Amino acid sequence: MQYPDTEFKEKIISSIIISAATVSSLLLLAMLIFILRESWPIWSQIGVSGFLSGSSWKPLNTPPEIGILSMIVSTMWVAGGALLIAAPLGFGCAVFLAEFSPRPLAAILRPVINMLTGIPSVVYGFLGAAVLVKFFEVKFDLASGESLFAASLILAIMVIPFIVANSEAALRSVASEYRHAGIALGVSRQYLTLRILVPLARKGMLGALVLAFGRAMGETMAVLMLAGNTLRMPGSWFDKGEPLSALIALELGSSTPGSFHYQALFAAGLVLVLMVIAVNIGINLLFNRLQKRGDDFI
Amino acid sequence: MKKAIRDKLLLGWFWVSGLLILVILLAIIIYLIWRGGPFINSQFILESPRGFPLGTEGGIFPAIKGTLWLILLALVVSFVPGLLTAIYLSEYGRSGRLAEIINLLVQSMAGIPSIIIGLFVYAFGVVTLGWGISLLAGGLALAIMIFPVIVVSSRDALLAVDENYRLVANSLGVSKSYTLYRVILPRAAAGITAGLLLSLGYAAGATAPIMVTAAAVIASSSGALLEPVMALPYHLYILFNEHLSLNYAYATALVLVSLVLLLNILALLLNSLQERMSKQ
Amino acid sequence: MNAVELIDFNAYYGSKAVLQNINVEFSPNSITAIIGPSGCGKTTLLRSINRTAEMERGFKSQGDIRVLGKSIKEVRNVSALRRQVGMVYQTPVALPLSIRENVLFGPRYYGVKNRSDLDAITEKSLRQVALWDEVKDRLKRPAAQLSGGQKQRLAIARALAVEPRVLLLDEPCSSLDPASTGLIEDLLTQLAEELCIIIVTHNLFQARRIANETAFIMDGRLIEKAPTQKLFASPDKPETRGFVSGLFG
Repeated sequence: MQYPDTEFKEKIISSIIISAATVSSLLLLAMLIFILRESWPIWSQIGVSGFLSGSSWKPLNTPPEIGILSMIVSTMWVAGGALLIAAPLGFGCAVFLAEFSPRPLAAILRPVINMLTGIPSVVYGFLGAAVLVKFFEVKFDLASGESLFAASLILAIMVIPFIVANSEAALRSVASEYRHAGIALGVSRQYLTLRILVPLARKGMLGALVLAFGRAMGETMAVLMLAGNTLRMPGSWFDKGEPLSALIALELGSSTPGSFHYQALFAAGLVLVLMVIAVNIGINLLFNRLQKRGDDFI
Repeated sequence: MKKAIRDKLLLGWFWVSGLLILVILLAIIIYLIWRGGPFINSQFILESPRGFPLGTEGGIFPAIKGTLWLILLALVVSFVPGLLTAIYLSEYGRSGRLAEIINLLVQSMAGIPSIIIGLFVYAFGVVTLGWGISLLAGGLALAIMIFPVIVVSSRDALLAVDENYRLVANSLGVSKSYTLYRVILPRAAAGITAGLLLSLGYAAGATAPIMVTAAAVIASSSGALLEPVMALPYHLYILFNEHLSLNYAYATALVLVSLVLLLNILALLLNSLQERMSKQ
Repeated sequence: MNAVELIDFNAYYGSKAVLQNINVEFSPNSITAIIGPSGCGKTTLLRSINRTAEMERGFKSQGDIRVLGKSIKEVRNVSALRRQVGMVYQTPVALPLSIRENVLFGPRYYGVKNRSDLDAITEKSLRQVALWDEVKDRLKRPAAQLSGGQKQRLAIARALAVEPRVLLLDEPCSSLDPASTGLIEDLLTQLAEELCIIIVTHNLFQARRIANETAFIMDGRLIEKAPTQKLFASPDKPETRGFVSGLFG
C-alpha cells in the first residue's frame, strides 16, 4: 500500500465545494444589489418617503407621479386579511393533528396538507376567480366580484398548510412530561392543550404565522386574478386593490427598459423584498429578546 | 358546567378545522376532475392550440413541452451548485461561522417572492444580456427559485446519514471525499432525489417568474434557448383571463395539478424509502 | 522502544481540563487496559492518540504524544498516522456496504487495486478475527445482516486490513453477549503478539483476563500504572485501592 497524495487532491475538492457554496449563497446579495442599482434614480430623485407615501401611480405622465402607498396598503391588507382567516383554522387543525385526531384520520390528513402545498398558486387563483368571484357576483349582485377580500380568502387557503405543518411540529416537540403531568392532574385535554402545550409551543407557532405572512405578501398569481387590479387606494376589505406583486407582474413587460417607469417597478420590488425580510428578521429579533429575558416558556 | 361547554366548543373547533381542510382539498380535486376531465383526450394533450381566437380549440402540447423544458433547465442549472452547497453545510462547515452565514442566506432566499426573482432575471438576462423573452431566462429564474429547496432538502438528507459512518471512516485515515463518494452520498441518494422531485413540482407550477421572462401566449416550445416558450401555468392564466375557453382552462389546470401531484407523490415515496433505510 | 508515549499531555474542551499531565508509556506487543470511573477522560485519551479528538469543537491540547517514536504533531500526513493507529468504537458499526467491501474500505483508498491482492487482504483480516469461516460464503452480502458480535469483529478486521501497528479499542465489548466477548478477548490476546493494544474497559474482570498492564485514570489524571496482577492485588495508591477494592478479596 502506498500513501496517495490525497492531501493535495482533497484540498482542491474542498476548495471547489467551499467556493460553490459561498458563491451560490451570495446570489441573494447580488440580486438585491442589482435591483437597488436599477432603481437608484428613483431613490435619488424622488426619495424614500416620497415614493412610499405617494398614493398616485401615474408613471407615464409628464411629470410622472410615482407613489406606491396604495400598493403597500393593498399588500398588507390582503396578507393581513389572509392571516386573520387562516390563523384560527390553521392553529385549530394543528392542534387537532397533534393532540385530538384519531390516528387513521391523521394519517390521511397529513399527506392531504402536504398535497395542498403542492397545488400551484395559479390554480388557486383560477379556481378562486372562476368559482368564488362568480359566486360573489351572483349572490351579492355585483358587477365584479373581485376584491381584496376574495384574494385574502384564497390566500388563506394557500397558507393554511404552512401554518398547520409548522405549528404541529412545534406542538409535537413539546416534551411529553408536560402532557403526563397534565393528565395526572386530571384536567381536560382541551385545558391541557390551551393552557400548557400551546404556550410552550408559542415560538414555533408564531414563527409559522410569520412565515405565512411573508408568503402571503409575496404571492403574485392569486392576487393578480382576484384582487381587482385597480390603482386606487382601497377603502375597505371589500374594495379592489393592487398589491405590489401584481403591480410588478402586470407592468414590467410593457415598460421601457431604462425608463422612469421601469426604474419605479424595481423600486417597488425592492420595497416588497425589504418588507418580507423585515417581517422575518423583526420577529426573530423579538423572539431572541424574549428568550434572553429568561422567559421559561419559550 | 361552563367548563364542559367550553371543552366541547374547543373540541368542535379542532375537529372542524381538521375536517374543513380535508374537505377543501377533496373539493378542489373533484371539481377540477369534474369540470376539466371531460376535455382531456389525446388530441388535447398532443396537439397545438388552434381556432380563432387561438386557444379555443386544439390542444396544449407546446405548453406541456415548454413546462418540461423549463423545469429541466432549472434542474440542470441549480442541481450541482445546490448539492455542493448542501455538502459543504453537512460535511465541511457544520458549525463554523461561514456555515451559519450560508445557512442564513439560503433560508432568506427561500422567502424571496418569486416575482422578484423574475424581476431580477428580466433585468439581468432579458434586457442587459439581451436574451429577450426566452427559455433560457425562464429556466434561470426557476433555477434560482428552487436552489434553496434543493440545498435544504439535500442538506437534511446528508445530515440524516448515521454519524458513526463518518467516525469509522475518519479513524481509518480516508479522506472526506472518499467517504462521501462511497458511503454518504449513496446513503442519502433517496432523500436527495426526493428533494429534487419536489423542486421540479414547485418549478412546474410557478407562473410569476416565467410570466415576465419566458412565457408567450403562443410558441413552438421546440427547446431553442433564446426563444419564448409556452408553459402550462401561463397558458391556464391566458385561457381564463382572456376568456378564451373556460373548459380548456379547467382541463389545463387538471393536467398541471396532476403533473405536480405525481412528482410530489414520487417524492413522498422516496422519502419514506429513505427513512426505512436509515432505521436498518 | 515504546509503541505509544504520552509526555506531559493535557487536553481541554473549551476551558475544562479533561486530561491533566498525563505521562504514560505503552509497550509494543502487549495489551494495556485503561480503567477508571465514567467521564474521567479515557475516551479522550484514545482519541488524542489518533488525532480524532481535535475534530471536536473547542478541543485543545498541550504536551506531546509519540507513536512509534514520532511525535503525532509533526506528522506530515494525518492520514498516515490514522492508518498506523487503528480504532474500534463501542458501538459495532458496519458500513452500509458488503462484508468484503467493509474490510477493503481502507485498502481501496490506499491504492490496492489488484484483484488477488484484495482477496488476500480480505481473507487474512477476516481470519485474524476468526470470522473467515463464518462469512466466507457470503462476502458479497450486506454487512448489516451480521450480529452485533460479528459486526464488532468485522470492525476489528477493517482496522487490521490497513496493517496498523497500534490498535485502540474503546469498550468494544460493552454491548455484546459473553460468548462474543470471549471470542474478541481471545483474538485480542493473539493479536497482541504483533500489535500494541490499548483497550479502555469498564469490565475489571476483562482487564484482569487479558491485559498485561493496566492503567488507572481518575479525574483526568493518571493515578497508577502497573502489571495487571499487581494493580489489582496490591495497588500502591489509595485511590486505586478504593476503585478495585471489594473485587479481589
